[in-house]
Amino acid sequence: MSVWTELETAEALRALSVPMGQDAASMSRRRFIKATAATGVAASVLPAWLSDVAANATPIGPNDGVLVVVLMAGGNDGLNTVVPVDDGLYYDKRGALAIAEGTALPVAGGIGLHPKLVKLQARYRAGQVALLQGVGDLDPDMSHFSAMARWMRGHHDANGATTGWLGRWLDGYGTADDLSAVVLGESVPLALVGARRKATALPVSGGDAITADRSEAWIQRSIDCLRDFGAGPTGNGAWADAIGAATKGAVNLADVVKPVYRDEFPEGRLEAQLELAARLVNANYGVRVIQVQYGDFDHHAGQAPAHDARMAELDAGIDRFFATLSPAFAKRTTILTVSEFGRRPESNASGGTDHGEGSDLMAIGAGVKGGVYGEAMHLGHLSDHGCPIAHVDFRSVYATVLDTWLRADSRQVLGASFENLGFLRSPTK
Amino acid sequence: MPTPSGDVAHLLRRAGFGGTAAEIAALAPLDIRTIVDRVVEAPAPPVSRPAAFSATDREYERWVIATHWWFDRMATSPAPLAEKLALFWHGHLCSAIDKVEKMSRMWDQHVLFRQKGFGPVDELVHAVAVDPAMLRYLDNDQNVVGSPNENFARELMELFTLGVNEYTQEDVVAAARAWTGYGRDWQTGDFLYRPNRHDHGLKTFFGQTKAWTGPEIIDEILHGKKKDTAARFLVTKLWSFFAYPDPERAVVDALTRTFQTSGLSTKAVVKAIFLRPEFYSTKAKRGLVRSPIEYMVAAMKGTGLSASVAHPEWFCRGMGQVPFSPPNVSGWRPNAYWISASAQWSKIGFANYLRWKVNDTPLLQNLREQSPEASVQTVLRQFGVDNAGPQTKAALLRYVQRERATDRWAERPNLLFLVMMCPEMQLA
Repeated sequence: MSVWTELETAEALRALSVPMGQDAASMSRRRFIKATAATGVAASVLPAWLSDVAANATPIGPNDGVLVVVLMAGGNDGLNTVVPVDDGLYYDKRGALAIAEGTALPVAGGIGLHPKLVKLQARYRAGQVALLQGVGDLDPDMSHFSAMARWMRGHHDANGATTGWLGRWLDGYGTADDLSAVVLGESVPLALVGARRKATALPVSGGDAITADRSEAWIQRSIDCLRDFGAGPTGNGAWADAIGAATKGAVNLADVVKPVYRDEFPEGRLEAQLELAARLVNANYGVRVIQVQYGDFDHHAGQAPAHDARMAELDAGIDRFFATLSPAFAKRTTILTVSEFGRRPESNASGGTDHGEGSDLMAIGAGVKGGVYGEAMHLGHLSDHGCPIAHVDFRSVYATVLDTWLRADSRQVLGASFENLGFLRSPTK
Repeated sequence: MPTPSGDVAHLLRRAGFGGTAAEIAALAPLDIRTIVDRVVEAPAPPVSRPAAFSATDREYERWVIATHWWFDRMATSPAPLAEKLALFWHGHLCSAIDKVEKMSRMWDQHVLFRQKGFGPVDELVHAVAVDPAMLRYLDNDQNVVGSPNENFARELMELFTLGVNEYTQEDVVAAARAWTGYGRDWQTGDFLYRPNRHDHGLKTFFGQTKAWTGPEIIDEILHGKKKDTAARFLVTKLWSFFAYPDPERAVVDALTRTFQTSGLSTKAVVKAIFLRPEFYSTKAKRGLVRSPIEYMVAAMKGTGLSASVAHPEWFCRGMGQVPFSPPNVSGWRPNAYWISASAQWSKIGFANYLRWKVNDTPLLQNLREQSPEASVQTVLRQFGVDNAGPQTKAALLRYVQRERATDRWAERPNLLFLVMMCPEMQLA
């Protein structure tokens, strides 16, 4: 069995579990909201996405950027990913867990990449990797769940918002039943849930039900009945309605995405996810945002072999993605890695590290202005909890992506103005 | 006073995995208190490890064997509430095979949920804290004096007993130090307390400074000045699992009183839940989506297929719920978490598989001799769907009429498939 990590948090749970009214009055209220959704009136009261599953495919424009978010669940150890090779404090504090001197892959002055990130090093040298140092939550929370929820919300009011940053982008983009945002997995994390729309969840691989031949009449009749289950209100409340709509939507969506599932997928889960992501971009269904998630990075004990394996997966997955990606989309597609926090410099007695605060992120692709952004975190100035202190607000990474790459209004999505870090070019064909 | 059969059906779905038409008819003439007593007091058959489990040392095979055993038990036990509570605790006091690596330890933890899951919650939490699967899952087996590991200490408060924002980082550090030394024997993997690895120093926890031990931390959480917070947290979680999320304040107040006056008895709370009028409200009846495990068990009950034929282990991951492998320490979430195109495809795959397996059995072979309306009604009843709405009924009827106009041979497998996929079948 492979590790299987889903990232919804306790808060995400509450946000995802929208309390639904069950009576006739709330049904008509729901229709009212759907009807007024275009103007955004009262949109936060009850999300219309419960009845929408994307099925329309409209190609993206020549200057539309595509964003692929790789969420590293559990708190990736930024210090052992983007290694401060010349910092004596790093070796002092990390002890045996430090990446041994001379083994990190040199990329810039004082910085080496984890030894497993071989292909990423080559990409860095080709000018296609931005290393974003010292990024984090300036009001850090060391609980996975609270921290992840804050990252997923990505709002100026980090604890108050009930929607995710990409979900809010989605609210203002496209049409209700398009494929603008996709998450590869079984459910949709808060980051991609908006007030009116949410991303479409696609299975990572396989799905005989998607590729099955439906040409015979007796099969077609049963497929028609599945669609009928979602034709209108069930008379059994909003959850039954949502189930019926999702069933209908799944059947309709299968007709659209069938081609990307035909060929075999690689073994590793992240590699398979990123292979599928590249195929989805190539198919040009209008996908602008894809999120994949993998882990677990919560290495409280026995970190070295586990983190090595995660880094090898990352290197292989990113390489696979760009190998599959059509040259037509190369300058319009960027990968962004995120994680809910980094880890402490001091290792614990279990050969692991405990929850930290700031960390390093990466943006990868031909549309990236390669290089190092921001200063390395100061390992001599730690927080009260012994953590390196972030000095770049993670929401300024989001602002850069939203404004430059998705050409959206980051102030509107994030609720305030955050600095554009300048690590992206404008996307172009 | 007799009980409406809709209420009986609802209770049997929530306290178990659904009742047959005969079970519902037998209970409906009784008073609701009598029915709830029967449901809650039904003696669970003894549990013993399947011989095949012990006969192999391959972890994946053991996972399949344990999964089959549990699905069959959920589908056929005369005391399904014990299975439901085992599922609840598995999703609350989480451990996962992915990290524990030994199915034998996951099995033992599962047995523990059955032994203590009905009783006082403090006994359960104390037992789970030193359960080898939990010691491994949250790294307390690595937590030693001088280098505390905070993983268990934090989740004990945040996810198991109190909720977020009810403690400080200093409390986490103190609790982690208090739990040092409660580890595992390296040779056997069993629980072992090593006094020389325990931090015997003074710690300040919830404002009290003393030489706290691990178990004292649990007692302080559940019986100290935070006891009301803990009680409310736990009864809210139980209500959300059995009835609907976000219970009204009055419901939580009443259940908290029951919980506290009963000595933190889970059984007393569960019984009180089943006796609340809100539990039988329209809001409750429509308030929960079946989790994939509940859904697959209900389909197995309806088809009469055993796990070795239905193979839930092939489909559970795609639906988003793998037994013995909750996604993280916060467990599984309800409702919207289970609804996506991706999950629906997996259900379609499962229902599709089951329909052909049923085709090899004598179940419902005379459907085509019935009127279209009766045929639909028969299959709905077979799966315990007593609440199909007008749209679902009309869709199924339209299907049967179209099928009978031409091929009609496909009616039985298709109708079984379609009822397994109708929205009401997927409600808890």
